Amino acid sequence: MNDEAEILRLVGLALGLSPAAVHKGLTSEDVPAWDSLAHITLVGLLEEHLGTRFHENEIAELVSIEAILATMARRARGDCDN
Amino acid sequence: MRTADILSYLAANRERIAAAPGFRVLVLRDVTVEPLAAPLRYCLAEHGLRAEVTFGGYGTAVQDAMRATGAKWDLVLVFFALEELAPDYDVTGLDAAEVAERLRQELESIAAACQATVLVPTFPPPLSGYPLRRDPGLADQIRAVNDRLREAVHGAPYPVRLLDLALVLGGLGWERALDPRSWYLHRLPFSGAALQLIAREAALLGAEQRGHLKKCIVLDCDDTLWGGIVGEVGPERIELHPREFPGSAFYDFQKRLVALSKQGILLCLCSKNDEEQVFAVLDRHPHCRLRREHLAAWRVNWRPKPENLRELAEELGLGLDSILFVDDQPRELEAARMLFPDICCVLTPQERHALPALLDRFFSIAEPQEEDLRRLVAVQADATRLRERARHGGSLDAYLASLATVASVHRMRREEVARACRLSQRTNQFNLTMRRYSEGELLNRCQDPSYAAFTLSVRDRFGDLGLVGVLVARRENATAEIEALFVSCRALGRNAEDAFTRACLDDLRKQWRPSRWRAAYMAAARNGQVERFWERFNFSAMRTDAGTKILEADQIRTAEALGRHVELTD
Repeated sequence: MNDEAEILRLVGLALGLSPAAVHKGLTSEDVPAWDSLAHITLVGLLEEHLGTRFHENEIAELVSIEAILATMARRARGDCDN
Repeated sequence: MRTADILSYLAANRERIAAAPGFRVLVLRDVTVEPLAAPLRYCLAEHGLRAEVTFGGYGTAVQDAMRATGAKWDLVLVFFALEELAPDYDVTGLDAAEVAERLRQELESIAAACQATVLVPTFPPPLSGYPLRRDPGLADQIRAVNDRLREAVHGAPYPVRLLDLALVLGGLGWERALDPRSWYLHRLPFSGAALQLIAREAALLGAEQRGHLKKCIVLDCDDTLWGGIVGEVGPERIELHPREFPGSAFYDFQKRLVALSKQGILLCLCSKNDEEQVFAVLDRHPHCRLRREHLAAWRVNWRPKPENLRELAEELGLGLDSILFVDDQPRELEAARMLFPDICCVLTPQERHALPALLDRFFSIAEPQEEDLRRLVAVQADATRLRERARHGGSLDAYLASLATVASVHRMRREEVARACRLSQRTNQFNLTMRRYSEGELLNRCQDPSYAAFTLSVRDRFGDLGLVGVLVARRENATAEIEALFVSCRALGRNAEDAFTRACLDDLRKQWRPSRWRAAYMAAARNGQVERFWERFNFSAMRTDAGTKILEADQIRTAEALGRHVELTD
């Protein structure tokens, strides 16, 4: 499974969504369950599975799947603060 | 365990969990702890319970408890934070006595309002770290607060337990247990790994309350108790050694098992092997820590393991749901699971270093309570009783006389409340009204003069069965009403339930002098055997209210013949 598919799966798992309901365009504004507490769980899941640790400034920005993918891509290029 | 595994498990088992008995947890807190909910649901599900978790507001523990009065909580978790209790404590220091006294008062208010067992964690080190000029005094002050909190909990006249975070999170260390990033971002002090360990301990307390704790470990031998196949390599060449890996992992696993057996957990073998080979290891291997005397029973033969498991459960008088079955072969576990879905199956890890801690999640690191220890040890005596009964052939009278049963009946004492509560939660067969009590409710009934609560403890020449019965009565004007009567199935079949009831009714007659008696029988799935119980005491059915038969009597009869072969003491 590539990172993108894995991220979609983890977002679904953290927010209690079926796989069909999760797509690349999903943002926290679309999903009532994506509140600040679910966000904590989602960040923990992503860190556990992707073997990364987000910078404290990144965490509040991970509010859409696009943003998560972009952050991971930036990290893959080594273009991050930590 | 990873968070994803927990969430996947909860999603995959949604229906099964939904059908399990509910367990209501109220979380009162000064800090963010919501991510505790998923591991708590997972851990309670492992014990056959469905968690219903409710979180209070921030810093409003007592107010939330007051608002939650009457909601029938099973457990109240209270997360106080020194950062909220004394915001400048890392600069100004702590007055341990003052903080502990405030906590004591708040816990007392919470326990009184919620009428449930309260679980309160000790305080960790400051999340901001110790002050730059290291002040050893602050660490001492936090330790002093925790010591005083422990004293307050131990002496409390209400049901409260301490969750010693230094013990529970000791394996992680504070570095991995506390998360400053989460603290500053979300006011969440604990890491995910720490929350899982806290959830595990809270769930064990829940399982203990409901009588869902595992009582027996059934073990395979080859590649479980030692490395290698003893039938192939011989006892001398199996892997089992105090220092040499992988034998050292098996050696330490055996040490843990022996320690559990000393806490009253029953150990059994279920192995496809020649018995002679297995006992050559247990009796003579120089590094084998598990010996024949640690075993409650065994089935070492070539028969299918599910058959052996069923026999072991019958021999020990245990429900299959109280058994942990440990094996290195997934197909053996699957066969057991297929036939007995209630058995908890545990696969030995492929990486041997993980073996010693394999069963940690099933057993609390808190010390077992004395009453539970006695009850578990009593199971071993039950097997002896079964053999004794067979020896007496068909004569029940001769068998009962040979047991020399002594029943101790007295008003419920403070230290008996926790055990009586658990008994009320799990007794289904000899239970007249199916009334389930929280510790708080029972404590109230011990203190309120309009109630009388009695306990029955039984011993015989084979051992001590411990506290096995409870009767609760309520006085209303001149009427004595039996609110609850339940006796553990372990103590049935020896007339102790008759002797107990007779002694309680005699006591009530002398103390309350009632002119009218009232009792009830509520029909449930498994208590058909007691439908006519009250007739033995001259009660007559008057009416049925919502499925409950109400019985009354002007005068009760307590004939000497009831309770034959049972000696009563106070």
